[in-house]
Amino acid sequence: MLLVNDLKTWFPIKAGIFQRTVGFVKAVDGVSLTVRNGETYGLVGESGSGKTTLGKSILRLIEPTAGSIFYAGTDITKATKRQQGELRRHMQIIYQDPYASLDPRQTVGSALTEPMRIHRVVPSKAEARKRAVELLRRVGLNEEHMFRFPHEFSGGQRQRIAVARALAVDPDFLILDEPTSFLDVSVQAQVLDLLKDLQKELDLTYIFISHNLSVVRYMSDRVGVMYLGQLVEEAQRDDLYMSPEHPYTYYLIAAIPVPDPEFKKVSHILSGDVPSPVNIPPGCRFHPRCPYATEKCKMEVPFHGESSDHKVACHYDIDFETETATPRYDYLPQP
Amino acid sequence: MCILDVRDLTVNFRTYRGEVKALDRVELRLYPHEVLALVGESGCGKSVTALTILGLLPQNAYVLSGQIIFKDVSLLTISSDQMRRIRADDIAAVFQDPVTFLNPVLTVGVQLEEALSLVQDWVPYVRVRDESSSEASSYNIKDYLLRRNPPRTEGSEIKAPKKMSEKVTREFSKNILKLVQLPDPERILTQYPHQLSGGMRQRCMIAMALARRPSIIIADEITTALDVTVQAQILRLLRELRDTIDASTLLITHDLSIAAEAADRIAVMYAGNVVEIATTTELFRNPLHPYTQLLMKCIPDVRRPVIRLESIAGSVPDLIDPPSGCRFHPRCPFATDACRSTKPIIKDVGSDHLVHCHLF
Amino acid sequence: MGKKTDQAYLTRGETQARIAELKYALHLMRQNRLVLSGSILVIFFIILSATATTIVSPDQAFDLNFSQSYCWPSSIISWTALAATCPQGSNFLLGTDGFGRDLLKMIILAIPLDISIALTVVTVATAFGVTVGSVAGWVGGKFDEIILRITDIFFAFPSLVLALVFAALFGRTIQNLTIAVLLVWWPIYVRLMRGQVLVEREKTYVEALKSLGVKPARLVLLHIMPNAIYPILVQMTLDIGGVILTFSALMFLGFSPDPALPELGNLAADGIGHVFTAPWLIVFPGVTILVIALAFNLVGDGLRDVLDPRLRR
Repeated sequence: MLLVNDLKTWFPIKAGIFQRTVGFVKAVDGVSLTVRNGETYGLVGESGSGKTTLGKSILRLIEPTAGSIFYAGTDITKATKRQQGELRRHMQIIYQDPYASLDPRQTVGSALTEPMRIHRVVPSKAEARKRAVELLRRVGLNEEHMFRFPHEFSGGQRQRIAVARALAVDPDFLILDEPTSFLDVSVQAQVLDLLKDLQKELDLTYIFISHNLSVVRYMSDRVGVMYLGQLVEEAQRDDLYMSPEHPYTYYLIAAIPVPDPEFKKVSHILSGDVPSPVNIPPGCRFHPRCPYATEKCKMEVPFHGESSDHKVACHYDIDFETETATPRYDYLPQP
Repeated sequence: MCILDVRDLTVNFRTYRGEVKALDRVELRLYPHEVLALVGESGCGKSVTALTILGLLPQNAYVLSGQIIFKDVSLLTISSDQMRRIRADDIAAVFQDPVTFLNPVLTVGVQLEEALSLVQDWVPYVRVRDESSSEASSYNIKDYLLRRNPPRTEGSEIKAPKKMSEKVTREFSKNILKLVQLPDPERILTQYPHQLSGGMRQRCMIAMALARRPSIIIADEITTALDVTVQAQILRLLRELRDTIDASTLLITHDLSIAAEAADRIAVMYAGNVVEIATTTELFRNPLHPYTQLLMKCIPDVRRPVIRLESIAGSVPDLIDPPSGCRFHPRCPFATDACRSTKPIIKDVGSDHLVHCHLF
Repeated sequence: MGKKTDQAYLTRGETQARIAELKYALHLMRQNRLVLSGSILVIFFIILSATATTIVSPDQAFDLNFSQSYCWPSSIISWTALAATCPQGSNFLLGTDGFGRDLLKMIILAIPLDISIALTVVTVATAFGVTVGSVAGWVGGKFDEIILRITDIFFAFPSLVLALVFAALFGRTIQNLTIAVLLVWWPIYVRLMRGQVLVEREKTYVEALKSLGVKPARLVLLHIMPNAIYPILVQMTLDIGGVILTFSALMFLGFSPDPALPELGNLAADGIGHVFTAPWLIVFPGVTILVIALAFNLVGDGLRDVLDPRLRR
């Protein structure tokens, strides 16, 4: 349903009296992925990885700098304003912060009916209100909540309202940008289950963006790991978690605290800080923090195999148990 | 025997809509040299507990009843000056967001020196070689933090000057930063908070807390704002520090997994009550309180694929009008009539495992 | 239930929700004593303005009697050695002015004039400032730059000078003087609103609404404006006192259209020339201006306190 081809979103850094562009923040720097109908694609990364920018670029809330995005066959990077308006109906986004994504001066009912009326999903005001009430009930709230203001609700409830609002226009595709990061664990479980149910019921396609790998494991069918603006690994969910191939993925999974005090943690912990996309290291972007890095990694950028279902951007095939790295021969030039 | 004893603590907040009964007869004990995790979701009262211990409650809050005994001093009855003294050198706090808690216009070095100047008892650990130049020859940070005896000055009695020179303070600051595993401490001392990453800032805050050699460190959600890999580093730091320093840590978090990794004992809170306390291994092996059990089922475990997450029915109660009896009864699958009418009392079920529930 | 009753219920629900919010705001304001007294005073002044003409007939302004000018009723309180005492039998509570009119009655007549001028200036300035400011803040770019420079030009002039020049050029009528004061006042509202719109524009809910397909016009009018308007409301109340002061200053400086016009500044201006013989002429009108300005200021402060922390909820 969705095909992203070599997408780049760069933000110019302006400096000096004349505001000349001195550099770029390469938030998204060449990402290609496909999302199939009805599946959930998990997008994982830490801060600075560009995952949120990627999500917003797909929706063109942030304008991509280069590359193309094909939605249901059409290239939406080339869409006109009018087509964009229509597309808004099909592709929606749920934000991370439930306290900021709703207009504080707008009642819940109005927040739900407004998009319906704009996109003419329903014929009349009365119909809009009826549908709003139905949506509220579907996400687990009541009719009386129609007349309340956002600040009267808890975080979990606000996210449900955001979900109801996104569903108001009857979309096919949702980008979920860390929808449960700000929520408590028990509330998170409720919201995630709700999202899963809705996906089945309404045949929705999701891109689930999160830094929480446990949650991503629960929600996704396929997972892509982003680091500094690029995808470093992409695989079927269980494949990624059971046998990660990229060292970053491996350490990311190893870093997650596990609810089991007797679980022996991996002795290696990734050193260094999460880098910023302003100064991107040459060659493989991960090499400054990678314990397996070689000279080659500092100079050449790796790319992943075209056809396999498990793609890795690494020069080496690493066995994490024995800590040995063997070079890959996927893309050596033919003699 | 215990360093901090919270007994029967009840704290209310006065608000427009009524009195919020934030803490309801909370009981906690913190022993020396341990890490106690206070785990709970938002609104359970864990931060309020920390603020009460520190004496930093907002104006509309008041302590209805209870005691907090810290090293034989009752914290709730002493004057604010005395409390400030204790905050300065005996109970240190590290909070979630170092951006707001570090002064943005002062460099890290200046702030660390400020923390060091509040407490002068690190001075004896500085060995002064030459009287004329206050260049100290070695600093035994670990000795200092473990409260071992200060190194004896060799040769004649050279007294360390009353106020240490800048150089000496800087050396000591560098060593403390090294202790929290900050690379290149010399440079960090000259930088401003916004120039550092989140993980580094958090380490600076920990360093500032350690510099005062406190008996208790209260860490309130210190890793919540950090990335996963950085969080892992900080947690490992805490584990290593536990053996290095002579302090107990009260680790406040909403994440049971973090508690599993970093804590010796865990206290689970819900709606202003401590519902269960046990050692970490015991709690995970044998969770007794229904809330603890349900909470554990909510957490997706990255090691196994999960078919469906269970959630806890209902939502956190409004503490202005909390449920009668046991506050968890509306959401508890095992609630009985007794649960609805009377508050449960704490029961010791053996092996240091305390539960606040009628079922036991 | 029929469709109509459903609809009615749902619309009623919306208004009820907003009324409840208002009630909460009012409650918060009532809690602060200073704000409460300010509000009571404001209400008092408004009622007084509405009923002034019934208390004192406007003809009284024309009832000139020079024989009893500049006199103070009782000889018990003697202001200065030179102050004259009114003839026996006259019941002037606050003395008389240069035209022999009862000062108290003139003040009562002056209050509605001043307050209505202040309200006019503030309302028009706000209406204009809010529209121009929001467009400038939202659209940005060249238009924004132009508006900013224009406001800068107006700011460069000391306010009184600008008003004086306008009054001198176009003649001294109350309307012209009101316009003069308006000219001084509008730039602040433009800048304020622009600043607020800039802040709101970056917030997540605006992006969320954009993603839902809400067009910019609707976004600005129905979403950004209601959120951005709070500091403006506060500024409005604070400015009422300011406008009265400016207007009175204009009168004071001799720009009054008619020396006998019952206006607070005008009355005080008369007193300047008679400081030693009739000091009450400056004192009482001055105190009235002070109290009006103070009352509105207190209400403005209360508004600011109420609106800020509540939004943080």
